[in-house]
Amino acid sequence: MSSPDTSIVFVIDDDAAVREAIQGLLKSVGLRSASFGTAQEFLSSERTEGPSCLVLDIRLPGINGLDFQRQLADAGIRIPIIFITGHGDIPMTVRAMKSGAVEFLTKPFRDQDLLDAINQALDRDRLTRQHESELAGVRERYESLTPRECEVMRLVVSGMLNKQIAFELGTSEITVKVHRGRVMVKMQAESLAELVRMAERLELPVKNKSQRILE
Amino acid sequence: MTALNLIDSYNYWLVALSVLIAIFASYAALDLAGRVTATIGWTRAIWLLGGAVAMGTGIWSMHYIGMLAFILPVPVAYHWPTVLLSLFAAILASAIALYVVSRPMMNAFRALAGSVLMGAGIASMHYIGMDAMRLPAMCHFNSFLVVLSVVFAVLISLAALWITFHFRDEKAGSGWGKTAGAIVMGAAIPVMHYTGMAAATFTSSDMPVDLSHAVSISELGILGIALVTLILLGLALLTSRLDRSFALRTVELQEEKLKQSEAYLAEAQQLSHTGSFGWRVSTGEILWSEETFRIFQYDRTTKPTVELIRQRVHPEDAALVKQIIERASQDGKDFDFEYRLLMPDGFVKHVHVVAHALSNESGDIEFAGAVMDVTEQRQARVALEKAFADIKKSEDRLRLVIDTIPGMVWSGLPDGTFDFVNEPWLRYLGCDWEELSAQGGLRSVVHPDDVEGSDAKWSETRAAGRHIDHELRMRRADGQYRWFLTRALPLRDNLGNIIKWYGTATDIEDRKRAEMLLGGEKRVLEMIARGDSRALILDTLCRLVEEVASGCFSSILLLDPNTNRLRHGSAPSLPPEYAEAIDGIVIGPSVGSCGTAAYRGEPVSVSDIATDPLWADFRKLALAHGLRACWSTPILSSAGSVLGTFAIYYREPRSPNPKESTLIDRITHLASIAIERANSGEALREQASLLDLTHDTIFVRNMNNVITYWNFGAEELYGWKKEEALGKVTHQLLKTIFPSPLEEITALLLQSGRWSGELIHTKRDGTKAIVASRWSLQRDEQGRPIGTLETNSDITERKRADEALARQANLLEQTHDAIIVWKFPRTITYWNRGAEQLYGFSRREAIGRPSHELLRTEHPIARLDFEAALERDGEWTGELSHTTKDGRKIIVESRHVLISETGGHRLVLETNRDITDRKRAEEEQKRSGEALRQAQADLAHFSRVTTMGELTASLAHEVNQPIAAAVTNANTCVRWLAGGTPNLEEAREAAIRSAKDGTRAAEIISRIRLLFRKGTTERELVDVNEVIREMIVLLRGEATRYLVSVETDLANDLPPLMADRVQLQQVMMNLIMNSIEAMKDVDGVRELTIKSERVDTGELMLSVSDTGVGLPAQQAGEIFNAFFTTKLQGTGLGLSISRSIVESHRGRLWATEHSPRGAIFNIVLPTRVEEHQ
Repeated sequence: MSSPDTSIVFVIDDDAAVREAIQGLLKSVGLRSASFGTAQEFLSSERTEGPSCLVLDIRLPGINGLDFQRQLADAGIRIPIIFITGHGDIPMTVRAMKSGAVEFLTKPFRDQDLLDAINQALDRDRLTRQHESELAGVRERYESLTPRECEVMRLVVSGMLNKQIAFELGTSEITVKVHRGRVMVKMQAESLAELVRMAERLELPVKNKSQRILE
Repeated sequence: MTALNLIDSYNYWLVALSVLIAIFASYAALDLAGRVTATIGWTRAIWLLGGAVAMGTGIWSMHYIGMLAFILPVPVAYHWPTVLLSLFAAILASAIALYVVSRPMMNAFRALAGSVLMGAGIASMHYIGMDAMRLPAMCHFNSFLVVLSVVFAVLISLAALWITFHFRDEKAGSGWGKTAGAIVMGAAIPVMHYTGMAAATFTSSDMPVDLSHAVSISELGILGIALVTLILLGLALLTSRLDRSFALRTVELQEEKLKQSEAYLAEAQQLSHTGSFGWRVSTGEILWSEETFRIFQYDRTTKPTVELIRQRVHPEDAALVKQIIERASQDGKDFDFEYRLLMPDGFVKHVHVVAHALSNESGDIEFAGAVMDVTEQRQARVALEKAFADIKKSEDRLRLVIDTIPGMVWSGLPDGTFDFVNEPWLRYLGCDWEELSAQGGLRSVVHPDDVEGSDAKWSETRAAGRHIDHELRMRRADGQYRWFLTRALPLRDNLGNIIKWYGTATDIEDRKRAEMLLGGEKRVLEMIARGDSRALILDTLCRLVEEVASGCFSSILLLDPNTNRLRHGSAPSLPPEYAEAIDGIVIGPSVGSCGTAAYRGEPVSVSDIATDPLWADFRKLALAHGLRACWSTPILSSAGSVLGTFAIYYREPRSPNPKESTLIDRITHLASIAIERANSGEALREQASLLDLTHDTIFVRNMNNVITYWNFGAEELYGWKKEEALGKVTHQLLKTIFPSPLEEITALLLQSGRWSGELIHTKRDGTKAIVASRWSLQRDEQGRPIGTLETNSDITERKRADEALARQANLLEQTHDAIIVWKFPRTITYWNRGAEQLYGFSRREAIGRPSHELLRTEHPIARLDFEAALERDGEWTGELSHTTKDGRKIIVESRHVLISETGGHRLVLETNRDITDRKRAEEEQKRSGEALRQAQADLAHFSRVTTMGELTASLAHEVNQPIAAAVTNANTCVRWLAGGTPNLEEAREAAIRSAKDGTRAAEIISRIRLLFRKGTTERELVDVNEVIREMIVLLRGEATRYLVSVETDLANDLPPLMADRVQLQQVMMNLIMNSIEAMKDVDGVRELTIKSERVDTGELMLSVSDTGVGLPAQQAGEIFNAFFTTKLQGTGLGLSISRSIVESHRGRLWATEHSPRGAIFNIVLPTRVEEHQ
């Protein structure tokens, strides 16, 4: 809720009245929303960046809501989903929750329940997005490194000493030191520990060979 | 005495031969006896004799062979006269025996007598034969054995006779009976013989033997006798056999004939419904012929008894029949009576029984008789009596009608006397029937000049047997004569004999006068054309005026332009003195009527001479001759100058009425032509052109009948142009058919100079025309005939109309339909018998009344529209409701036809047929249809409820949707209101949405409730697309549940349909549900498409197609059957009910395969919009 301007709620329901009602409710709490009659419409629409979630009727024309959920996951679209249904049953609820649904509401639902679910979903999305944007910065900086610097960094976060790195790379310790200093600056890492954390996030491959040597 | 018993012995071969001959002889005799029985008269005697000879010879022959077999040690000779005597005895005995057996009756006495005689004969023969022996021995007889031999002869004869009698008729000639008889009889003779021989004992004696007349019998001789006898017997037998076979053949032929004649009799009886019977009273035995069985309806195998007859007698006639049967059985008299039978099936028959009593020898009474089925004759007689009664009734009615109608009607007998004139006629004559008869009947009121012609015409009419129009004058009550057209029609019986004449008389006075004027004008024109003298023409003109305007005098004065004097032209009836006195008067401003009129050049009508100043100078003269009024008109030339004056005088003061003015104008015009033509003496060409002015057909032919003149009217009537007609022979060209031979007509023409009558001509186009023809002979100055002027007018139409009218009038009375004729505005002028019967109003009550008031007519459409339709189409057909006299409301099938009558009257002929019963039956049918529909509706409801049950989940979803929306919107509204600064605008919007959702939920629920409602079959105008959309809404949840996409393709221009909304919804629901059901388990596309369109035939076509499993293979034909289902929990009623719903809307429902997968359900519904707009 810290940045209400960018978060948005998508509503997919084949019943226009239901869509309208939900959008009205969202508007009353200052949430932006967009609605679609079918899953297809949603897929073909342009979605803005920013935290979002999906309120999805489990019965959709042409496709089952649960199947659509899987379809989105397969396409790499990670968006928190709140299911609503006119006639829910337990097996469907279980399946939906297992697949990572935020909430499963039966019509008619309490307004607060829906809003809570939406907020939860948006928070989750926001968090996800924050993580993703941080990672993107690290990756960007990492990509600004020269190949040699990349190599040095990989070896540094593997816990190798400068001397060992120089040996590994067949260069002098001094050169390694220079490279290491540049890596620290470029990656904006204040400590080796921070650099190691960045490498972890980038999932850089650990230098096993040198580890063996170290042993 | 040397009494020595001679030892006798037998030659057994000969004994056997003797027995054989005896048997053979007996057989022959019996055979011949059969012939004796079968013949009569002298043939019988011959057969008897032959038989006797055969038998006798046989016996005799046996005896002597037997004797030869008897061997004595002494020579034996026979005294031959005695031998012959013995032969005679044998023959006599045989004759007696044969006579006895050939009798028709045999009783004990006869048999006994016969056998005694025969036995005696045989015995006599034997002992006579013995006596004939001449031998040197004594013969002694043992008396016991002698008696025994005779007894044997008698007893065995008796047996033989009995056997023979009983078997004599046996047809097969060699029956066992006869053979047995022959053996027994054949045995009798040898038994007797050898017993007799046993009785005899021979003792030798020395007594000389008297051998005179004695012969010895050698063995050879005996054999000869045997042979001759056998041949004789053989011949007799052969003859008998031949004769028998002839006789048999004859009998067969006779029997065949008898059989055939019996068959004919049976056939005849059947055809005439007459059966025969025999009845023997004493035994009660009854014999019936085949037809009698049929009449009484008994099976042929039953044995007829009096009781059986009684069972069939009609209860009302039972006493009569009983009495007659009893009396007949007592006194044995003939009987003849009629009674009724009541058949088991309730049918009543009339039978006529005639019987004749016979007494047989024994005095028993026997009846032979006939029973006739006279039911049909009876019915015919009853029908005939009824028909007579009807005729009588209809005659009375006719009389009433005749007295009521305004026309004059009469009737006459075939001999020419009149037996009736109706009331209007008597009123005209001013007397009643008795007075008229006293004066001398109708003849006395006919104008004296017309009496003779009328008599002749009436005779001619009767002779011709058909109607001939006749015109005559009859005196009115006030003494004035008026012209009438009389017409007679014969009434004929079935054989075509005239039994009565009916006729009418129509007042044609006015027409007659007009005709007279026209005829006169034509005559004058002809005269002018012919160039007759002016004086003659003007005289004719004046006479014409006097004829047409009776009671006036007319005159024509000619103006001499040089002297301004009026000169005498013509005044055939004015007193000559008066005419002379005014001849030569000078015209001036006040010179009577004529002088003034000629002077002024304009008509001067003086209505009273006694007072008019114009007549000051001539008053005395005029009044002296009794003239009181004078109307004078100047005769003007074509150039406008005065040629003279035409004046009409009356003996009483009066002024001209419009008719008379017209008459004066026409006469003046003619006079002008006459005077001008006569003056100028124009040529023939001009005359001809004059004739061309008239539309009448005029042509002139010379004495050879060659056409020399042919006017425009002739061209028009016949079609031949003048150029074509001239030079042709008239009667060949026109194929004239004359009423009488042309020679007679020509003779008449030459004699009187004129002829008129009706001719039939053939026109150029081949059609026939009946023309009224008038011929006038043209002569030259010397008076020799030079040609004939013929004027014809076409009366074909009139003739045809007359005949048609007569026929129609007759027919209208015959029909059972009600026929009414009315004229605008609805006044009834004709009312037939059918109408009387249908509505109960008599003709008298109906005629003159407005028909719609009388019958309280109810039109299916507004009366004005109805009349407009009648005007436009000339006819109208449809159903009307009428009320009869007794207040019954009936429905009639009515046909109105507009008839235009001459004189501008327009009549409507209305023919009505009672269809009330038919209508009622239809209503009844409709009601039972209603009940059926109700039952169907109930079933449909059941099915609907079942289907809805299946839909619970989906329906709950559908109801949930709007409720969820409503709740959410309501909450939203509260949120907007609850904030620190309530946003009223947003709150209002949310509240509106909430309300809308609530409404929607209510609508859906009400739709569902509608489907649950118990079926009533209400029809209303329904938008089919709306029904489809509603059902899609209700079933959307179900479709979504099974991931079925629903497509619609609905035409916009569909007309509303008269239908039961709920039932249509049910059909759509069933079809959609079926489609979803069919698709829920298929992989791939699940598409439901609903289409509506209007097809070329104007019908609505709906289709529901799916991509499901398709129609069940091999069972596609059964899906519409009740209780057929492929679903686990289906009732199997859905499609069956859907189809019956569609059919109750007069539509069709069927299924087809959907390519590449699935099924299509098609519905075609007729639009009935036209009926309800």
